[in-house]
Amino acid sequence: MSSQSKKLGKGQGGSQDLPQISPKQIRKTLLYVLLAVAAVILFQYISPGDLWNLVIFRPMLNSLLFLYQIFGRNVVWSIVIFTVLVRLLTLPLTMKQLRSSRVMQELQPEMDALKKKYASNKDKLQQETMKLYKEKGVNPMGGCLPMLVQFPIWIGLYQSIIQLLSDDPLQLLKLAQNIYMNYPSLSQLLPLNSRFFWLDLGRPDPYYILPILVAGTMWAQQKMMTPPSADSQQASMNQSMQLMMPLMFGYITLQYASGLALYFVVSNIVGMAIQFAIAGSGGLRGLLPGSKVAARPASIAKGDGRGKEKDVAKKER
Amino acid sequence: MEYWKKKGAMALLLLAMVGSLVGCATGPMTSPGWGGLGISEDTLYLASSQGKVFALDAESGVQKWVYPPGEKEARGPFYSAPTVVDDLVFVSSHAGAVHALDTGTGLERWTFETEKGFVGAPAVVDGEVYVGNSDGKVYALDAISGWTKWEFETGNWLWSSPVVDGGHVYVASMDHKMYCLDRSTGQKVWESEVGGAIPGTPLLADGTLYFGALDKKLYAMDASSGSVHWEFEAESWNWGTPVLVDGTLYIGSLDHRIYALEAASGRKQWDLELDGAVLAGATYADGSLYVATDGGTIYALGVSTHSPKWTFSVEGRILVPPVVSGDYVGVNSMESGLYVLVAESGLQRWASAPDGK
Repeated sequence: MSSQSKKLGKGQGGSQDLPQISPKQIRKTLLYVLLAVAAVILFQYISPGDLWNLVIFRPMLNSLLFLYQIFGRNVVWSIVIFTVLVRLLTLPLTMKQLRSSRVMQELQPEMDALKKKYASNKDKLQQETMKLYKEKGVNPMGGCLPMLVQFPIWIGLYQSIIQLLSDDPLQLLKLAQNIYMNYPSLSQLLPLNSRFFWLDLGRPDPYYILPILVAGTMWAQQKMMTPPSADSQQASMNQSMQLMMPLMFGYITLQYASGLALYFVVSNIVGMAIQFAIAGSGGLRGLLPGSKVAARPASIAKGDGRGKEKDVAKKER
Repeated sequence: MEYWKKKGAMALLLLAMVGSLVGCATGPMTSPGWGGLGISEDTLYLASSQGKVFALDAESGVQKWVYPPGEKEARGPFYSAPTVVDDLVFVSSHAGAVHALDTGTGLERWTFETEKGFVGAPAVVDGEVYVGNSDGKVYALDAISGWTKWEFETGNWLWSSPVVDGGHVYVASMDHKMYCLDRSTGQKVWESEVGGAIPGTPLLADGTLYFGALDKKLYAMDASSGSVHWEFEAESWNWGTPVLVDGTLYIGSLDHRIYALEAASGRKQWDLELDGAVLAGATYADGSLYVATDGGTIYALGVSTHSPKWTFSVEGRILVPPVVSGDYVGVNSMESGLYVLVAESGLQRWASAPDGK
C-alpha cells in the first residue's frame, strides 16, 4: 500500500508538489466514510430522537433508578454515585486532556519561536505549527473532547431528573415510555423521594446555595487546570474565561432542577481531585494559605505531576 | 496564542450549546394539563389545559360562558374533569384551587386554595366536596361555602378522586396505599398497601375496589377490610378507572391494550391492541365501550363482539375519558381541542377549540 502510493505520487509529476497521503490517513478517511454511510442507513430505520432515547437517555434514567434502589432510596446518593461513575468512565479522556494541556504548555516556547520566524507568512506558520503538533503527537483540540463527551450526559441527566422527580402527571406519563418495564422493581420505586434538606431536587434551589457551589467549584477547577501565562493578553483571556464559564453555569443551574446542579458540583469536585492527584493544585497554589506563588513559568510544568510540583515549590521557597 | 484562541472558541461554542440545548431540548419544567370534560344534560363543560373553564351547548358547540371571563388570568392548568351537581360545577386546578361555579352563569361562588396542585376531580356527595391534593391530603369541604370540614394526610401525592360510599371515603394515594376513611370525621378506618403508586381513581362496585397501580397490576380489593381478592398484571401501567359491565371488568393500559377480565376472579377474557396508550379509563353506554388513546383515536367497541364498531381519529393526544350523553360522545384532544361525535356512527357533529388551540 505504501509503495503504491509512492508510485502514484511520482507518476503524477513528483511527490514534492503534491501532499503525501499516508495509508493511515486513507484508513481513517475510509472509516469516516463508512461511519457516515452507517449513520445514513441507521437513520432510515430510527429517528435521531429515538436513537438518543435508546442509547443515552433511557440507560441513564434507568441507571439512576437502579442506583436509587440500591443506595437507600436516596436521590442525592444516586446522583452522586452516578456522577462519580461517569467521571471514572471518562477518566482516560480526562487524562488525555491533562496530558494535552501539559504538552501544549511545553510547546509554548517553540511555538513562540515559530511565530517570530514566520511572522510575515501565516500559511507557513500554520504548516510548521501543525508539523510541530504532529512531531510531538498532540492534538490541539484534544483538550476539549472530555468536555464535549460530557455534554450529552448533562442533557440526558437533566431529562432524567425532570422525568424522575417531577410532580407533574404529564412527566410521569412520559416516564412510562422510558422506564424498563421488564424490571417491575424499577416502577415500584415511583414516585421518588426528591426531598433532601432544603432541596426539592426536581426544582431550582430556592436559596441559591447549589448554583453558588456550582460556580465556585467550576472556577476552582478551571483555576487548577489553566496553566499560568506570562503573556498578558493570554492571561487576560484566561481570566475572563475562568469567570465567564462558572457564571454561565451558575446562571443555568439557577433556572433548572437542583439535581443537575448537584451533578455539576460533584463532577467539579471529582475533577479537582483527579487534577490534584495528577498535577497538583495548579493555578490554585498561589491562592492557598501559606503560598505566595501566583504564577510559575511554563517550562517548569514539565514532568509528571504532583511530585514535581512539590519539588518546584521547595525550590521557590 | 493560536491554542488559546481555539480553546476560547471551543469554550464559547460549548456555552452556546449548553444554553440552547438544555433549554430547548427539554422544555419547560411545568407542563400544561390534559384538560377534563364533564357533561350535564345539554351542556358540555371543559376545564382546559390552558386554565379556563368553558360551558358549551352540547348540541351546537356554542359557548355559554367562560371562567374566568374575558381577558382575566387563567386559573389552570386543569387535569381534572368538572363535576356537576345541581346548580354548581366544581373544578380543581393544578395551580392549587377548587372553584365552585354557577352552572347558569359561570360566576364564582367560592374558591378553596392550597399550596400544591389538584390532579383528580372533586367528588361531590350530599352537599360535601371531597378532593385529593398533591400535598398528600384529602380535603372534605362544604359544597355551599367551601369551608373545610376535615382533612386527612397520606404519605404522598393524591392524584385520584376520592370515592364515597355510605359512611366511608376511599382514597388512593401515590404512597402505594389505599385508605378507607370515616366520612364524617376523616379518621382512618383501614389502610392497605399494594406494590405500586396508585395514580387513578378506583371503581367501587359490589363491595370491591378495582384500581390500577404503577407496578403494572390491576387490583381487586375488599372495600370493608382492604384485603386483596386478586391481581392481574398488564405489560405497562394501568392508570385509568376500570369499567364494570355484566360481570366483566374493562381496563385500558399504557401498553396500548384494553383488557376484559372476569370481575370475580381477574381471569383475562380477551384483550385488544389499540393504536396508542390508554391513559384514561373507558366509558360505557348502550352496549358500547368508548376508549380514547394517546394516538388520537376514539374507539367504540362492542362489548359483545369485542371489536370496534367505529373509530374516529383526531389530531393530538387524548388523555381523558370520553363523555357520553344521549346520542353523542365528547372527547378532548390536548393539541386540537374538543370534538363531539354521533354515538351510533362516529360521525363528527362539531369541533371546537375554545381556548384557541
